[in-house]
Amino acid sequence: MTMTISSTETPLSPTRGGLDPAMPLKPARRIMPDLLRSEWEKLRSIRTTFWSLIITVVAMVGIGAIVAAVHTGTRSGRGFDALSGTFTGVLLAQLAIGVLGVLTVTSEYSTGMIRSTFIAAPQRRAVIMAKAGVVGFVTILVGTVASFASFFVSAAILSSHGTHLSLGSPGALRSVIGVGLFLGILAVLAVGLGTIIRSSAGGIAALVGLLLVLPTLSQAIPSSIRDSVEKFLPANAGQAVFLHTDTGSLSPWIGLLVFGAYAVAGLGIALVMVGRRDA
Amino acid sequence: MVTGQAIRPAHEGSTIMNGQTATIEARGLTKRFGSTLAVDDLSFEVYPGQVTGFLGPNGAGKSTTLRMILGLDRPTSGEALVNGSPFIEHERPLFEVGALLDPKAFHPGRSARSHLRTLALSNGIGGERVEEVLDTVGLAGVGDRRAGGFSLGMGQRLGIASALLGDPGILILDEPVNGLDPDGILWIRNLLRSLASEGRTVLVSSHLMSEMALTADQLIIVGQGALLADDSVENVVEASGHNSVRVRTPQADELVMVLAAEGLNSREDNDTQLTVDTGSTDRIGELAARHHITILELTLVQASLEEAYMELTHDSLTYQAEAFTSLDESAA
Repeated sequence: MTMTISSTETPLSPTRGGLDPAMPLKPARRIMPDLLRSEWEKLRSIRTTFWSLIITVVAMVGIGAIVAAVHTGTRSGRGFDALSGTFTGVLLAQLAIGVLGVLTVTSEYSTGMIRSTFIAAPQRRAVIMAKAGVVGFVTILVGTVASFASFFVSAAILSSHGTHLSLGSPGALRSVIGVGLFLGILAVLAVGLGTIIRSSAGGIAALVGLLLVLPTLSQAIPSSIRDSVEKFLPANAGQAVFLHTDTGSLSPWIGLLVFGAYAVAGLGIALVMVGRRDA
Repeated sequence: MVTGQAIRPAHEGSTIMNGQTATIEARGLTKRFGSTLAVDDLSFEVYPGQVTGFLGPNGAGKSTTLRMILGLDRPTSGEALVNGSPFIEHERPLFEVGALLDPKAFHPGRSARSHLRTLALSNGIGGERVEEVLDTVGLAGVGDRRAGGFSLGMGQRLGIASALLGDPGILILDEPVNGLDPDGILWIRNLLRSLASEGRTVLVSSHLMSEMALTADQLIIVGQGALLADDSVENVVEASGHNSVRVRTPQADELVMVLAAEGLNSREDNDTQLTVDTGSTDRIGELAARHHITILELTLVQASLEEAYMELTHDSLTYQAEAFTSLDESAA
């Protein structure tokens, strides 16, 4: 029986249509590289990404430069930690990166894209891991570049006022590299938060709470144990790698490790939940 | 042979019809949202080479069923198999199943082309195929425009493009004609028929019987989440048993009595026209001749698919209305 189909559009190739069980088009390789490529395409095709990263770079370099200029002019040499001041902008950049990480997931839920994503790739945990991987990696790259840029700009301003700061200064190189890693880990944590909460507003609120509100709330803790609790809060632990507060913070790398543990835990909870819930 | 572990062999217990193996199977599929039973012990098979209409009133559980088949919702009990195994066990499923659930399932900030690329890449499909499907659905000219600015109809086309990316043997489409203009509806109808004629499985949901009458070969009808009918379009019409014969005669009153004596129900539409509950024009003609009754017209009136559908879903709709009423009452 021949069937003539009148269609106004280009007809599909009739070659496959499930008639060929061999499915020659289907590549026989691991799925993760494909998911990473897909998530990279998603990330680079959204304006949010561009703006978040621009804000990150501008905030870090700009605010670092302002702090350097202001402090050298007014209270040069009197207890001013030039190195920490350089990274003041990270406190703003962390919000931009955190929002980017949260939105990577929540924008898919709010738009309905998540259903297209999971119909194309039902391995939900792998999808979320690919997201975390791509956002984390891009953030580390951009964060590290911004961190070096910010450091050299600040160092130049400081040196013109007689304060010497170079990568050879104590803790300088560690701080510069630590900032990029801190932001990358934060992005992963944010992807976890976004996956757990699924709503953009809720996810961003949770992020701000974690980064900004929690450290303030810790003032309510009895002073006897406050010091030992405060330093383990996510933001305080993570920032120890580049901010040098004299009040007993964790040592830089231990702090970053603790922060990483928060990210791993958050992502872990997210992976469990994304597999269980209806999409 | 029996081990403690339940290992499902491929195509275990697959149902076979006309030498074809079912490509989609629902087995006791049930979904409960809180106290609402959205899908109630639904079992059916879908076969390749034909368009299967998945039909039911709004709220009958069609979308929830499709979402369970596609692994988006987890069944409360029962299971759905696609090509013999649960959907979520398929790696790179675009090569096997293409689906359109929601015409707005994309990020509005992305271009149509970019949207398709993200999905294609996740299955290892290259950019040429993206161009092909854009062309197939007639969106090639607007591929770089933000999908957020698309009309509902363009959204449907984009959704269909994504369903076609892997040139899959199974297509699952939820209300694909929603929001399409007459041209678009005709296009979808032809596309679905041509996909089925290529040997693919096409499962398409609708709440419009009239649409399914033109597109589908097989019907799965649900109401209140439960299966009402699973049969060919012809059988659904036939089973409705609502065929009747229209008779025009100047002796209507006489004929009514003759028919009543033969046990045939009839009603007078007007002074010269009757509608008789029977599928046979011959019998009425013979009866009329025997009693010398003049017949001006004798027409077999077949029940439309729409009527068959209304009859099938009537109870579930009534039940629904009652449920809403009691809900109102309990709220009051």
